[in-house]
Amino acid sequence: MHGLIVEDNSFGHNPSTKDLARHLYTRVGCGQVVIAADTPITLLPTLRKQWFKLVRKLQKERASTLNGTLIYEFSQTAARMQMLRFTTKWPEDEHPANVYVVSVEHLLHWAPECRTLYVTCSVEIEELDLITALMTRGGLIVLCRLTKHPTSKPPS
Amino acid sequence: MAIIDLPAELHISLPLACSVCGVALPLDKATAGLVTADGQQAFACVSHFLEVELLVRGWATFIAEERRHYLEQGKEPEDLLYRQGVEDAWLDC
Repeated sequence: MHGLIVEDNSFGHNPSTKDLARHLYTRVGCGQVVIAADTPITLLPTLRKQWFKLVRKLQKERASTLNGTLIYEFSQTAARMQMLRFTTKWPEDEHPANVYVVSVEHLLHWAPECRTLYVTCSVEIEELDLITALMTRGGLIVLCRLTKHPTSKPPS
Repeated sequence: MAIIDLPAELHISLPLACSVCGVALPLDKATAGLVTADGQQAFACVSHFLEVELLVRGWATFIAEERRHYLEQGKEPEDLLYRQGVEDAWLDC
């Protein structure tokens, strides 16, 4: 697919935004990231919450090491992670950000030129072909269906 | 499952090596991560997503190593995340 690497459900059987944030941590250094979602406005706050939990993990790791090189890298990375800009607005030309969470309809209207695309919703293969047409060669597509966690406890 | 398509045109030799723990990786246990100073795609074991301390430490070590390679080549590492004028992560809905 346009010289792109494709990953399928790398997070196991029940992927969540926590898994997505961890994968995102390994990819944000590569450039812009786009996440295709059914309801971007719902996914974005939970993803951001997991992102900041990861920042705290990084800060804890920094506090627990005596290695100067690692302390420097942890500090730099944590600072960059805190500056990361998330948005649900599209297209990218009009709304500069690092991570876009947008619907498939938006992506079909304006194909992204990102290096990483997460697909968290159902997409036809023809649609995916159109969406990825402008992605950088050697970029990554991650196909993952996120588990929806209930926000409230069921009645007992 | 993990990597299901690795285009031949990328000239990535198999088996892959994990950038975090160094073991040889089959495609079904690999995930694509950061890019090396030479522009080559780096990979890691999918299982590292379950161990967050190892994940952050492993990639931090990787970045430190790549930064060293950059500096040895006389280049400043390009920081793709840093943007002038952005003071904090924020939500733009």
